[in-house]
Amino acid sequence: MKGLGRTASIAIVVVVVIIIVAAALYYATMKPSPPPSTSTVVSTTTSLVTTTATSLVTTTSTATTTSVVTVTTTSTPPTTPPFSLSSLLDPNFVCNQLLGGKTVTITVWDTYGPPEDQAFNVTLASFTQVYPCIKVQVTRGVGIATANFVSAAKAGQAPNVYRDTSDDAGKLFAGGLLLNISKYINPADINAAYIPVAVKNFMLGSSIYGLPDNVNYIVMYYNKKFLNDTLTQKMFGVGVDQLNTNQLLQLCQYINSTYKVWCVAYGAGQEWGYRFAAWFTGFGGRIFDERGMPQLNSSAMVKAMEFWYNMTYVWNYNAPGVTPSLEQQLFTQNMTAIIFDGPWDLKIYQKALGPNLGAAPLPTISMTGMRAAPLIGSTGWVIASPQASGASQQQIYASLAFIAYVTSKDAEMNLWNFAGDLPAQKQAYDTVMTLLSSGGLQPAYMNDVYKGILEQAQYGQKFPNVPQMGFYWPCFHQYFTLYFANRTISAAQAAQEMESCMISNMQQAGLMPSS
Amino acid sequence: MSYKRNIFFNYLYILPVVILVAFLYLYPILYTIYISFTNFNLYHFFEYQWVGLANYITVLTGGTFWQVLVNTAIWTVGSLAPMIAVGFLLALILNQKDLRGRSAFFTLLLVPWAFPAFISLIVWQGMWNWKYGIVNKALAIFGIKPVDWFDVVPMAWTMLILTNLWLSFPYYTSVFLSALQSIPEELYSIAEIDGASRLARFRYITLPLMRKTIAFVAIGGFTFTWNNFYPIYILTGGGPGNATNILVVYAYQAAFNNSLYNFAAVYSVIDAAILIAMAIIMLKYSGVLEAIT
Repeated sequence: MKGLGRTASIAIVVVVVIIIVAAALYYATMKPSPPPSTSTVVSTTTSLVTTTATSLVTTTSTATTTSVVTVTTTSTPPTTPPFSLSSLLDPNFVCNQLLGGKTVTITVWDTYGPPEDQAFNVTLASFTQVYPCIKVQVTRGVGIATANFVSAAKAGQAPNVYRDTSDDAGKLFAGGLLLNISKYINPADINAAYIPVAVKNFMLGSSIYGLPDNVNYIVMYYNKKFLNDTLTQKMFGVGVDQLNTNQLLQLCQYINSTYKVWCVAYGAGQEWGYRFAAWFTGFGGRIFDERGMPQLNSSAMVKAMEFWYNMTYVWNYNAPGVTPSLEQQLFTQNMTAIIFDGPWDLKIYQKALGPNLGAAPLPTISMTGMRAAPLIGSTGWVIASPQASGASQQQIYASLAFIAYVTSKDAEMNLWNFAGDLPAQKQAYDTVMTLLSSGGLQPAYMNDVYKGILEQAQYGQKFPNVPQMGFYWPCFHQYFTLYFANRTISAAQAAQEMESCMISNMQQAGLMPSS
Repeated sequence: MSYKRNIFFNYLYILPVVILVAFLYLYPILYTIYISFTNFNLYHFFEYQWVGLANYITVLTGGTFWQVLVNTAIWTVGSLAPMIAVGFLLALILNQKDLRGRSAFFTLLLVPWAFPAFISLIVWQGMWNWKYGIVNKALAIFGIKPVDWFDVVPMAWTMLILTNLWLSFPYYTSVFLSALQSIPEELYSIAEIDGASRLARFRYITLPLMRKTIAFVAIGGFTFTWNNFYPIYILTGGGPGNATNILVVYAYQAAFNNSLYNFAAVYSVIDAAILIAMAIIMLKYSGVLEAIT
């Protein structure tokens, strides 16, 4: 059997290629269906505010935000956004008024780790019972702050609800992938319900893009076998929580020579900048100026880098070549006295060290007299924009009810009870504070540990969640590790290069602040 | 005429499959090329614009690209040379007729292949660990101080190349061994009768007859190693700094660390273009295609 003639073959190939190119161009240039019009939301908001203000004229002349709260808690809630948090926590209102008695299914990506997931399971079971009109399809084991959400959003298949870090979600919000929650829930309600730092973490400009479920930052965990208040009082006349870096160095010398263990296990050579930001600030630096321009090329950065290089390779107080998991191994096996980590790993250390576990704020930098100030961040629940998820208005409303519920007092108390997460919801936070101040935690030594953890919160810094922050991590990592690699480049060069790298990335992304 | 028409319709039956395969194959490539000419990134996600050659100019005039390109060449050549040498040497050893336990050796040789590369790399990451890794513990027996394999640039390269050698040599050995076994035994017998030494037999029989296989393996190995993502991504992530970064890892990082999908596409397009050009040159001068066809 003979094949096709040359002309016919070419014709077929040409047709196939044309079809493919046409299809590719169609999909490449295709615009997803537009989300509910922003202008509609704005006009609704305006009309609501106007109505509310009018109804309260005779009773008060205070700020509009106060008026909004008053109305939403005392009369029938409006069925158009923005809603009050309390109305979203009312199943009758959500199921009958907002969803019109229909059953709505929402998709949720759960990014909790194992202990937190136990808490989430309890909350989820309760939610499905209380809100029979909302079916929740949960995908478990999703990594937090991963690119999966972006990929799904590009296909218009993002989950309705996602749990993310405040800074990563900030990038997603800037890209239009997340819903502006403050257009759907009264901002005054959000400010009233959650502690201020957590709300600010989820704010970009004046927009709120998520509801926080915890507050997190690093502290100095220490092993009381090697380092304790008695020792520091004897050596310096201060407790562990009042140490400065000069005293830390003397302590390290003592610990190394007496116990033959590492003083500190901090994998500086693998750093991406989260923990290092605390030291950078303590040495007098800041990541961004008021305009949003990076400020890494500074003497503070140079000094902070040199400090940790010397700690590791000159004074030999810090274990070299360690990864975060190795840090944990060294600490839990009594092979290092100090580690810098967050409350999310507390249970691991409690299990390993028991009453020998201590927690305190990071030391004061002797050179500047300023505290090393860790980034105070939050994780929380966000809702994908309709463009990213293809959600209907009813799914958006159901998602709002869901995130309000999983960040409510009971839900955050579950997280505290199962995983020791510090609540971001005010009532839950107050409950925990009361518990701690009465020394009611069991085992009793955990009261001191939490006291140290909470003390650190006084010396933290706001976690920048501007989209430019996304470039801080890779740029810092690239040049800090190069400096740490046997000083392949100098600290000054590293500081200069990491700032240039950030600026270059910002230019490439079109994110340079207008002058 | 009717016969030709039938033939034409017969081909039309497979057209859907042809379109599907071509679409799956060509669409990602065309789309990558397309977005490399746009400002598509996380911050211009749903609405992005054509920017012409601007992205290419930025990449080609920046210093990082050239550094990463040099790294990619170091990684490829540095890995390929020992892989071919070790693979060929082991194949020669296993090809000895009088070698006892040849099958057992060959089975053991395939062990690195039996494990998924990703798992092997995680295990190797632990083995190179400064504190607990078996490599440093073994070196300590000879009085050598622990080596910081991850944080010192030459050590990081050494670690990467040695790990890649372990992962890859079974493939090279297997291919070389099968090629060696296809050389007619009579050639060696005749040469031996003629008084040719072992070295002479290797030089005048084995090497010439293996030339095409070596070329084929070298070209295949070159293209594979050039874009071998996992060893570098898992072991060093391209660090310290960008000191061990290669194009394919850098493209990935541009997309998923920096959310600059357009620049990731530029790196991918340039990477592919370089590789295609080098493969064509190597294929032309090695004569591998002639051997295959």
